[in-house]
Amino acid sequence: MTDQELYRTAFTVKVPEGTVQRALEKANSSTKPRRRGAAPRMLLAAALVVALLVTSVSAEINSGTVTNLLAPYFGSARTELLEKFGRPVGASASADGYTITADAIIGDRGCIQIIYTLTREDGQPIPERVKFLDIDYAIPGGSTSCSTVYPRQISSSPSRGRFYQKFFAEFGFSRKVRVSFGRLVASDDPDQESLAEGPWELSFVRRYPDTTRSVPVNGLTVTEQSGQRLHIRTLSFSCLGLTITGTTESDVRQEPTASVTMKDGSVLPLDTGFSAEGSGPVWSFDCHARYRDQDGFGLLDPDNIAAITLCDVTIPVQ
Amino acid sequence: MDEQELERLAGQYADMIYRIALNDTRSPADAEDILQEVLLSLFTTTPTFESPEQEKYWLIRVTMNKGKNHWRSLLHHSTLPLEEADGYLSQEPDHRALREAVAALPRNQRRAVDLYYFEGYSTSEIAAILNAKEATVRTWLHRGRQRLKKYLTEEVTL
Repeated sequence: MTDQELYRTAFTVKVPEGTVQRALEKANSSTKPRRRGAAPRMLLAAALVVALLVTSVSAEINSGTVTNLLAPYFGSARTELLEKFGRPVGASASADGYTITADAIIGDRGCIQIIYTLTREDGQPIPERVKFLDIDYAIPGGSTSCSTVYPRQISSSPSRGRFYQKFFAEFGFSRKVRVSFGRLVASDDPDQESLAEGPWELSFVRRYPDTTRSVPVNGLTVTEQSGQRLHIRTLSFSCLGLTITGTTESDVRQEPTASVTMKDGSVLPLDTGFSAEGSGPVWSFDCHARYRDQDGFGLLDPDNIAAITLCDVTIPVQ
Repeated sequence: MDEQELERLAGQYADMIYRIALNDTRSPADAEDILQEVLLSLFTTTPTFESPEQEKYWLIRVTMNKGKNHWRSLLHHSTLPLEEADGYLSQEPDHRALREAVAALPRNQRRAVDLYYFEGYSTSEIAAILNAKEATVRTWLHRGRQRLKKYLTEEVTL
Protein backbone atom coordinates (compact mmCIF):
# COMPACT_ATOMS: atom_id res chain seq x y z
CA MET A 1 0.00 0.00 0.00
CA THR A 2 1.43 3.40 -0.95
CA ASP A 3 1.53 6.28 1.52
CA GLN A 4 -1.30 7.94 -0.35
CA GLU A 5 -3.48 4.82 -0.23
CA LEU A 6 -2.74 4.38 3.47
CA TYR A 7 -3.57 8.01 4.18
CA ARG A 8 -6.80 7.89 2.20
CA THR A 9 -7.92 4.71 3.95
CA ALA A 10 -7.18 6.19 7.36
CA PHE A 11 -8.93 9.48 6.66
CA THR A 12 -11.99 8.42 4.69
CA VAL A 13 -15.06 9.66 6.49
CA LYS A 14 -18.74 9.78 5.59
CA VAL A 15 -20.81 12.75 6.54
CA PRO A 16 -23.32 11.58 9.18
CA GLU A 17 -26.81 10.69 8.03
CA GLY A 18 -29.17 13.65 7.93
CA THR A 19 -26.40 16.25 8.04
CA VAL A 20 -26.58 17.16 4.36
CA GLN A 21 -30.36 17.39 4.47
CA ARG A 22 -30.19 19.72 7.48
CA ALA A 23 -27.56 21.84 5.75
CA LEU A 24 -29.64 22.10 2.58
CA GLU A 25 -32.74 23.03 4.55
CA LYS A 26 -30.82 25.73 6.38
CA ALA A 27 -29.42 27.11 3.13
CA ASN A 28 -32.84 27.18 1.53
CA SER A 29 -34.54 28.70 4.57
CA SER A 30 -32.04 31.54 4.65
CA THR A 31 -33.80 33.18 1.71
CA LYS A 32 -37.23 33.33 3.36
CA PRO A 33 -38.59 36.90 3.74
CA ARG A 34 -38.22 38.47 7.15
CA ARG A 35 -41.21 39.14 9.33
CA ARG A 36 -42.85 42.50 8.94
CA GLY A 37 -42.11 44.87 11.76
CA ALA A 38 -38.88 43.15 12.68
CA ALA A 39 -36.63 45.72 11.01
CA PRO A 40 -37.47 48.72 13.24
CA ARG A 41 -37.06 46.61 16.36
CA MET A 42 -33.75 45.25 15.13
CA LEU A 43 -32.54 48.75 14.26
CA LEU A 44 -33.49 49.96 17.73
CA ALA A 45 -31.71 47.01 19.35
CA ALA A 46 -28.64 47.56 17.18
CA ALA A 47 -28.58 51.26 18.08
CA LEU A 48 -28.74 50.41 21.77
CA VAL A 49 -25.88 47.90 21.40
CA VAL A 50 -23.77 50.48 19.55
CA ALA A 51 -24.48 53.11 22.21
CA LEU A 52 -23.45 50.69 24.97
CA LEU A 53 -20.31 49.69 23.13
CA VAL A 54 -19.31 53.30 22.48
CA THR A 55 -19.83 54.14 26.14
CA SER A 56 -17.84 51.17 27.42
CA VAL A 57 -15.03 51.63 24.90
CA SER A 58 -14.70 55.33 25.75
CA ALA A 59 -14.49 54.51 29.42
CA GLU A 60 -11.82 51.89 28.77
CA ILE A 61 -9.81 54.18 26.51
CA ASN A 62 -9.70 56.87 29.15
CA SER A 63 -8.65 54.52 31.90
CA GLY A 64 -5.32 53.00 30.90
CA THR A 65 -1.97 53.48 29.23
CA VAL A 66 0.69 51.07 28.11
CA THR A 67 3.85 53.08 28.66
CA ASN A 68 4.53 51.66 32.08
CA LEU A 69 4.22 48.12 30.77
CA LEU A 70 6.27 48.43 27.64
CA ALA A 71 8.59 51.40 27.89
CA PRO A 72 11.59 49.32 29.01
CA TYR A 73 11.37 47.14 25.92
CA PHE A 74 10.59 49.55 23.08
CA GLY A 75 12.41 52.50 21.61
CA SER A 76 11.03 55.91 22.41
CA ALA A 77 9.34 56.47 19.03
CA ARG A 78 7.35 53.26 19.22
CA THR A 79 6.57 53.77 22.87
CA GLU A 80 5.03 57.13 21.95
CA LEU A 81 2.87 55.49 19.30
CA LEU A 82 1.87 52.69 21.66
CA GLU A 83 1.02 55.28 24.26
CA LYS A 84 -1.15 57.03 21.70
CA PHE A 85 -2.89 54.06 20.10
CA GLY A 86 -2.37 50.97 22.29
CA ARG A 87 -4.26 49.85 25.34
CA PRO A 88 -3.37 47.44 28.17
CA VAL A 89 -4.86 43.92 28.25
CA GLY A 90 -3.52 42.19 31.36
CA ALA A 91 -4.79 38.63 30.70
CA SER A 92 -2.40 35.83 31.66
CA ALA A 93 -2.16 32.05 31.91
CA SER A 94 0.39 29.84 33.68
CA ALA A 95 1.39 26.22 33.10
CA ASP A 96 4.48 24.08 33.55
CA GLY A 97 6.51 26.88 35.13
CA TYR A 98 5.87 29.44 32.40
CA THR A 99 3.43 32.33 32.30
CA ILE A 100 2.14 34.10 29.22
CA THR A 101 0.75 37.59 29.70
CA ALA A 102 -1.09 39.56 27.04
CA ASP A 103 0.28 43.02 27.83
CA ALA A 104 -1.20 45.34 25.27
CA ILE A 105 -3.36 45.51 22.18
CA ILE A 106 -3.42 47.88 19.25
CA GLY A 107 -5.70 47.65 16.26
CA ASP A 108 -7.93 49.05 13.59
CA ARG A 109 -11.17 48.09 11.88
CA GLY A 110 -9.83 44.83 10.46
CA CYS A 111 -6.68 43.94 12.38
CA ILE A 112 -5.36 43.64 15.90
CA GLN A 113 -1.82 43.22 17.18
CA ILE A 114 -1.24 41.84 20.64
CA ILE A 115 1.98 42.15 22.60
CA TYR A 116 2.78 39.27 24.96
CA THR A 117 5.40 38.47 27.55
CA LEU A 118 6.56 34.92 28.24
CA THR A 119 8.00 34.58 31.75
CA ARG A 120 9.88 31.65 33.24
CA GLU A 121 8.67 31.55 36.80
CA ASP A 122 11.83 30.12 38.40
CA GLY A 123 13.80 33.15 37.22
CA GLN A 124 16.16 31.10 35.05
CA PRO A 125 16.87 32.38 31.54
CA ILE A 126 14.69 31.13 28.71
CA PRO A 127 16.50 30.20 25.48
CA GLU A 128 17.18 33.24 23.32
CA ARG A 129 14.63 32.11 20.79
CA VAL A 130 11.71 29.83 21.49
CA LYS A 131 8.51 29.04 19.66
CA PHE A 132 5.12 27.44 20.18
CA LEU A 133 4.28 24.44 18.05
CA ASP A 134 0.55 24.74 18.73
CA ILE A 135 -1.31 28.01 18.38
CA ASP A 136 -5.04 28.32 18.17
CA TYR A 137 -7.49 31.17 18.47
CA ALA A 138 -11.12 32.18 18.20
CA ILE A 139 -12.47 35.60 17.35
CA PRO A 140 -16.19 35.97 16.68
CA GLY A 141 -16.88 37.38 13.24
CA GLY A 142 -15.78 36.53 9.76
CA SER A 143 -12.79 34.62 8.56
CA THR A 144 -9.55 35.33 10.39
CA SER A 145 -5.90 34.80 9.78
CA CYS A 146 -3.22 34.89 12.42
CA SER A 147 0.53 35.31 12.38
CA THR A 148 2.80 35.04 15.39
CA VAL A 149 6.30 36.42 15.81
CA TYR A 150 7.94 33.97 18.21
CA PRO A 151 9.29 35.02 21.61
CA ARG A 152 12.75 36.48 21.87
CA GLN A 153 14.57 36.79 25.14
CA ILE A 154 14.56 40.29 26.60
CA SER A 155 18.26 40.97 27.08
CA SER A 156 17.76 43.05 30.23
CA SER A 157 15.54 40.37 31.76
CA PRO A 158 16.62 36.91 30.49
CA SER A 159 13.85 35.00 32.22
CA ARG A 160 11.37 36.78 29.98
CA GLY A 161 10.65 36.91 26.26
CA ARG A 162 8.55 39.28 24.20
CA PHE A 163 6.38 38.22 21.29
CA TYR A 164 3.63 39.54 19.07
CA GLN A 165 0.56 38.19 17.36
CA LYS A 166 -1.45 39.72 14.57
CA PHE A 167 -5.01 38.87 13.58
CA PHE A 168 -6.94 39.93 10.52
CA ALA A 169 -10.68 39.52 10.90
CA GLU A 170 -14.09 40.82 9.99
CA PHE A 171 -14.84 41.61 13.60
CA GLY A 172 -18.39 41.11 14.80
CA PHE A 173 -20.11 42.88 17.66
CA SER A 174 -18.60 40.57 20.24
CA ARG A 175 -15.20 41.75 21.42
CA LYS A 176 -14.06 38.50 23.01
CA VAL A 177 -10.70 37.11 21.95
CA ARG A 178 -9.53 33.64 22.91
CA VAL A 179 -6.00 32.52 22.20
CA SER A 180 -4.30 29.25 23.05
CA PHE A 181 -0.61 28.34 22.97
CA GLY A 182 0.94 24.92 23.45
CA ARG A 183 4.23 23.01 23.23
CA LEU A 184 6.97 25.54 23.85
CA VAL A 185 10.26 24.47 22.26
CA ALA A 186 13.66 26.05 21.60
CA SER A 187 13.76 27.27 17.98
CA ASP A 188 17.15 25.73 17.30
CA ASP A 189 16.34 22.32 18.80
CA PRO A 190 16.21 19.86 15.88
CA ASP A 191 14.28 17.33 18.00
CA GLN A 192 11.83 19.97 19.16
CA GLU A 193 11.71 18.63 22.70
CA SER A 194 9.09 20.49 24.70
CA LEU A 195 10.37 22.93 27.30
CA ALA A 196 6.79 23.13 28.50
CA GLU A 197 3.62 21.57 27.15
CA GLY A 198 1.00 24.08 28.26
CA PRO A 199 -1.63 24.76 27.13
CA TRP A 200 -1.79 28.44 27.94
CA GLU A 201 -5.30 29.68 27.21
CA LEU A 202 -6.05 33.38 27.42
CA SER A 203 -9.38 35.12 27.10
CA PHE A 204 -9.84 38.86 26.99
CA VAL A 205 -11.81 41.68 25.43
CA ARG A 206 -10.38 43.68 22.55
CA ARG A 207 -10.62 47.38 23.31
CA TYR A 208 -8.57 50.06 21.62
CA PRO A 209 -9.10 53.31 19.73
CA ASP A 210 -9.78 52.52 16.08
CA THR A 211 -7.58 54.85 14.00
CA THR A 212 -9.01 53.71 10.66
CA ARG A 213 -9.41 56.56 8.14
CA SER A 214 -11.02 56.15 4.73
CA VAL A 215 -9.53 57.58 1.54
CA PRO A 216 -11.90 58.41 -1.35
CA VAL A 217 -10.92 56.34 -4.38
CA ASN A 218 -13.67 57.14 -6.94
CA GLY A 219 -13.29 54.15 -9.23
CA LEU A 220 -9.51 53.99 -9.00
CA THR A 221 -7.80 51.24 -11.00
CA VAL A 222 -4.13 50.34 -10.44
CA THR A 223 -1.92 47.99 -12.42
CA GLU A 224 0.44 45.52 -10.81
CA GLN A 225 3.86 44.83 -12.37
CA SER A 226 2.52 41.60 -13.86
CA GLY A 227 -0.11 43.60 -15.74
CA GLN A 228 -2.93 42.56 -13.41
CA ARG A 229 -5.49 45.35 -13.05
CA LEU A 230 -7.00 45.94 -9.61
CA HIS A 231 -10.21 47.95 -9.36
CA ILE A 232 -10.14 49.57 -5.92
CA ARG A 233 -13.44 49.73 -4.06
CA THR A 234 -12.26 50.96 -0.65
CA LEU A 235 -8.96 52.18 0.72
CA SER A 236 -8.28 52.99 4.35
CA PHE A 237 -5.25 53.46 6.56
CA SER A 238 -4.51 53.34 10.26
CA CYS A 239 -1.62 53.09 12.68
CA LEU A 240 -1.08 49.53 11.42
CA GLY A 241 -1.04 50.15 7.67
CA LEU A 242 -3.47 49.93 4.75
CA THR A 243 -6.59 47.95 4.01
CA ILE A 244 -7.69 47.71 0.40
CA THR A 245 -10.70 45.95 -1.10
CA GLY A 246 -11.80 45.68 -4.69
CA THR A 247 -12.22 43.42 -7.66
CA THR A 248 -9.98 41.96 -10.30
CA GLU A 249 -10.34 39.69 -13.30
CA SER A 250 -8.70 36.57 -11.90
CA ASP A 251 -7.23 35.07 -8.78
CA VAL A 252 -4.06 37.04 -8.14
CA ARG A 253 -0.86 35.20 -7.39
CA GLN A 254 1.50 38.16 -7.14
CA GLU A 255 0.88 40.39 -4.19
CA PRO A 256 0.49 44.05 -5.13
CA THR A 257 3.14 46.50 -3.99
CA ALA A 258 2.26 49.23 -1.53
CA SER A 259 4.10 51.93 0.38
CA VAL A 260 3.42 55.09 2.33
CA THR A 261 5.22 58.41 2.09
CA MET A 262 5.49 60.18 5.41
CA LYS A 263 5.36 63.95 5.81
CA ASP A 264 9.13 64.03 6.40
CA GLY A 265 9.64 62.54 2.92
CA SER A 266 10.60 59.05 4.04
CA VAL A 267 9.04 56.16 2.12
CA LEU A 268 8.08 53.02 4.02
CA PRO A 269 7.43 49.86 1.99
CA LEU A 270 4.64 47.67 3.31
CA ASP A 271 4.23 43.91 3.45
CA THR A 272 1.09 42.94 1.60
CA GLY A 273 -1.11 39.97 2.33
CA PHE A 274 -3.64 39.25 -0.36
CA SER A 275 -6.62 36.94 -0.60
CA ALA A 276 -9.17 36.69 -3.38
CA GLU A 277 -12.42 34.80 -3.71
CA GLY A 278 -14.50 34.32 -6.78
CA SER A 279 -14.65 32.59 -10.11
CA GLY A 280 -14.76 33.44 -13.79
CA PRO A 281 -14.13 37.06 -14.72
CA VAL A 282 -14.80 38.72 -11.35
CA TRP A 283 -12.82 38.08 -8.18
CA SER A 284 -13.26 40.07 -5.00
CA PHE A 285 -10.12 40.70 -3.02
CA ASP A 286 -8.99 41.91 0.38
CA CYS A 287 -5.51 43.25 0.80
CA HIS A 288 -3.83 44.20 4.05
CA ALA A 289 -0.57 46.09 3.65
CA ARG A 290 1.28 46.43 6.93
CA TYR A 291 4.43 48.14 8.04
CA ARG A 292 6.79 45.74 9.74
CA ASP A 293 10.08 46.74 11.27
CA GLN A 294 12.97 44.44 12.03
CA ASP A 295 11.51 42.73 15.06
CA GLY A 296 8.12 42.23 13.47
CA PHE A 297 6.06 44.86 15.22
CA GLY A 298 5.36 47.84 13.00
CA LEU A 299 3.52 51.01 13.85
CA LEU A 300 2.82 54.16 11.87
CA ASP A 301 1.47 57.49 12.97
CA PRO A 302 -1.48 58.03 10.61
CA ASP A 303 -1.28 61.78 11.28
CA ASN A 304 2.12 61.81 9.55
CA ILE A 305 1.17 59.97 6.34
CA ALA A 306 1.35 62.28 3.32
CA ALA A 307 0.63 59.86 0.47
CA ILE A 308 -0.13 56.22 -0.29
CA THR A 309 1.29 54.39 -3.29
CA LEU A 310 -0.53 51.36 -4.63
CA CYS A 311 1.24 49.59 -7.48
CA ASP A 312 1.67 52.35 -10.08
CA VAL A 313 -0.55 55.04 -8.52
CA THR A 314 0.20 57.52 -5.72
CA ILE A 315 -2.74 58.94 -3.80
CA PRO A 316 -2.16 62.06 -1.67
CA VAL A 317 -3.70 61.94 1.79
CA GLN A 318 -5.45 65.09 2.88
CA MET B 1 -27.96 28.95 -7.48
CA ASP B 2 -31.07 26.81 -7.82
CA GLU B 3 -31.92 24.08 -5.33
CA GLN B 4 -31.28 21.28 -7.82
CA GLU B 5 -27.73 22.43 -8.52
CA LEU B 6 -27.09 22.95 -4.81
CA GLU B 7 -28.27 19.39 -4.10
CA ARG B 8 -26.00 18.05 -6.82
CA LEU B 9 -22.98 19.80 -5.37
CA ALA B 10 -23.93 18.77 -1.84
CA GLY B 11 -24.28 15.14 -2.92
CA GLN B 12 -20.95 15.20 -4.70
CA TYR B 13 -18.83 17.15 -2.22
CA ALA B 14 -20.48 16.88 1.23
CA ASP B 15 -18.13 14.10 2.36
CA MET B 16 -15.10 16.10 1.22
CA ILE B 17 -16.25 19.32 2.91
CA TYR B 18 -17.14 17.49 6.11
CA ARG B 19 -13.84 15.59 6.12
CA ILE B 20 -11.74 18.73 5.64
CA ALA B 21 -13.73 20.58 8.30
CA LEU B 22 -13.49 17.64 10.71
CA ASN B 23 -9.73 17.43 10.24
CA ASP B 24 -9.50 21.16 10.80
CA THR B 25 -11.66 21.43 13.90
CA ARG B 26 -11.73 17.84 15.26
CA SER B 27 -15.30 18.55 16.23
CA PRO B 28 -18.23 16.86 14.45
CA ALA B 29 -20.51 19.70 15.53
CA ASP B 30 -18.17 22.32 14.09
CA ALA B 31 -17.71 20.27 10.92
CA GLU B 32 -21.46 20.13 10.46
CA ASP B 33 -21.74 23.89 11.02
CA ILE B 34 -19.02 24.52 8.46
CA LEU B 35 -20.75 22.24 5.94
CA GLN B 36 -23.90 24.31 6.41
CA GLU B 37 -21.97 27.55 5.99
CA VAL B 38 -20.27 26.36 2.82
CA LEU B 39 -23.55 25.27 1.26
CA LEU B 40 -25.06 28.59 2.28
CA SER B 41 -22.18 30.39 0.55
CA LEU B 42 -22.85 28.35 -2.57
CA PHE B 43 -26.53 29.19 -2.42
CA THR B 44 -26.12 32.91 -1.83
CA THR B 45 -23.06 33.78 -3.94
CA THR B 46 -23.97 31.63 -6.97
CA PRO B 47 -20.43 31.15 -8.25
CA THR B 48 -19.95 29.95 -11.81
CA PHE B 49 -17.40 27.23 -12.40
CA GLU B 50 -15.61 26.58 -15.65
CA SER B 51 -14.60 23.04 -14.76
CA PRO B 52 -15.11 20.39 -12.07
CA GLU B 53 -11.55 21.08 -10.89
CA GLN B 54 -12.37 24.74 -10.32
CA GLU B 55 -15.58 23.73 -8.55
CA LYS B 56 -13.67 21.50 -6.14
CA TYR B 57 -10.90 24.08 -5.69
CA TRP B 58 -13.45 26.77 -4.78
CA LEU B 59 -15.17 24.50 -2.27
CA ILE B 60 -11.92 23.52 -0.56
CA ARG B 61 -10.84 27.14 -0.28
CA VAL B 62 -14.16 28.25 1.16
CA THR B 63 -14.22 25.28 3.57
CA MET B 64 -10.75 26.11 4.83
CA ASN B 65 -11.61 29.79 5.16
CA LYS B 66 -14.69 28.92 7.19
CA GLY B 67 -12.63 26.60 9.36
CA LYS B 68 -10.00 29.22 10.11
CA ASN B 69 -11.94 30.82 12.83
CA HIS B 70 -14.86 28.74 13.79
CA TRP B 71 -16.07 30.08 17.09
CA ARG B 72 -16.01 26.83 18.96
CA SER B 73 -12.83 25.50 17.47
CA LEU B 74 -10.60 26.72 20.27
CA LEU B 75 -12.67 25.04 22.94
CA HIS B 76 -12.80 21.76 21.08
CA HIS B 77 -9.36 21.86 19.57
CA SER B 78 -7.31 21.39 22.64
CA THR B 79 -9.72 19.48 24.83
CA LEU B 80 -11.79 17.11 22.72
CA PRO B 81 -10.52 13.54 22.93
CA LEU B 82 -9.81 12.26 19.45
CA GLU B 83 -12.07 9.26 19.83
CA GLU B 84 -15.03 11.58 20.38
CA ALA B 85 -14.26 13.44 17.18
CA ASP B 86 -13.66 10.25 15.31
CA GLY B 87 -16.24 9.56 12.64
CA TYR B 88 -13.78 7.89 10.31
CA LEU B 89 -14.63 4.63 8.62
CA SER B 90 -11.44 2.76 9.41
CA GLN B 91 -10.88 1.83 13.05
CA GLU B 92 -7.63 -0.07 12.43
CA PRO B 93 -5.20 0.77 15.26
CA ASP B 94 -2.52 1.87 12.77
CA HIS B 95 -4.96 4.18 11.04
CA ARG B 96 -6.07 5.66 14.34
CA ALA B 97 -2.43 6.22 15.29
CA LEU B 98 -1.81 7.99 11.98
CA ARG B 99 -4.87 10.17 12.51
CA GLU B 100 -3.68 11.10 15.98
CA ALA B 101 -0.23 11.95 14.66
CA VAL B 102 -1.71 14.13 11.92
CA ALA B 103 -4.05 15.79 14.42
CA ALA B 104 -1.01 16.75 16.51
CA LEU B 105 0.57 18.65 13.62
CA PRO B 106 0.36 22.44 13.53
CA ARG B 107 -2.59 23.55 11.43
CA ASN B 108 -0.64 24.64 8.33
CA GLN B 109 1.31 21.39 8.21
CA ARG B 110 -1.86 19.39 8.76
CA ARG B 111 -3.66 21.16 5.93
CA ALA B 112 -0.74 20.79 3.54
CA VAL B 113 -0.30 17.09 4.36
CA ASP B 114 -4.01 16.46 3.94
CA LEU B 115 -4.25 18.23 0.58
CA TYR B 116 -1.17 16.40 -0.64
CA TYR B 117 -1.99 12.88 0.48
CA PHE B 118 -5.78 12.77 0.42
CA GLU B 119 -6.73 15.18 -2.34
CA GLY B 120 -3.60 14.50 -4.38
CA TYR B 121 -2.76 18.14 -5.06
CA SER B 122 0.72 19.27 -6.07
CA THR B 123 2.67 21.74 -3.97
CA SER B 124 1.86 24.57 -6.41
CA GLU B 125 -1.84 23.75 -6.22
CA ILE B 126 -1.70 23.61 -2.42
CA ALA B 127 0.07 26.97 -2.42
CA ALA B 128 -2.81 28.42 -4.43
CA ILE B 129 -5.44 26.91 -2.14
CA LEU B 130 -3.74 28.02 1.06
CA ASN B 131 -2.71 31.38 -0.39
CA ALA B 132 0.92 30.69 0.49
CA LYS B 133 4.20 30.59 -1.34
CA GLU B 134 5.13 27.25 -2.87
CA ALA B 135 8.39 27.17 -0.92
CA THR B 136 6.45 27.63 2.29
CA VAL B 137 4.17 24.73 1.40
CA ARG B 138 7.21 22.55 0.72
CA THR B 139 8.52 23.45 4.17
CA TRP B 140 5.19 22.59 5.79
CA LEU B 141 5.08 19.27 3.95
CA HIS B 142 8.66 18.48 4.80
CA ARG B 143 8.16 19.22 8.48
CA GLY B 144 4.86 17.37 8.54
CA ARG B 145 6.42 14.33 6.91
CA GLN B 146 9.30 14.41 9.37
CA ARG B 147 6.83 14.06 12.20
CA LEU B 148 4.88 11.36 10.39
CA LYS B 149 7.84 9.33 9.16
CA LYS B 150 6.86 6.43 11.39
CA TYR B 151 3.72 6.04 9.27
CA LEU B 152 4.52 7.55 5.86
CA THR B 153 7.67 5.84 4.75
CA GLU B 154 8.01 6.56 1.03
CA GLU B 155 10.75 8.89 -0.13
CA VAL B 156 9.22 12.00 -1.65
CA THR B 157 10.94 14.75 -3.59
CA LEU B 158 8.97 17.94 -2.99
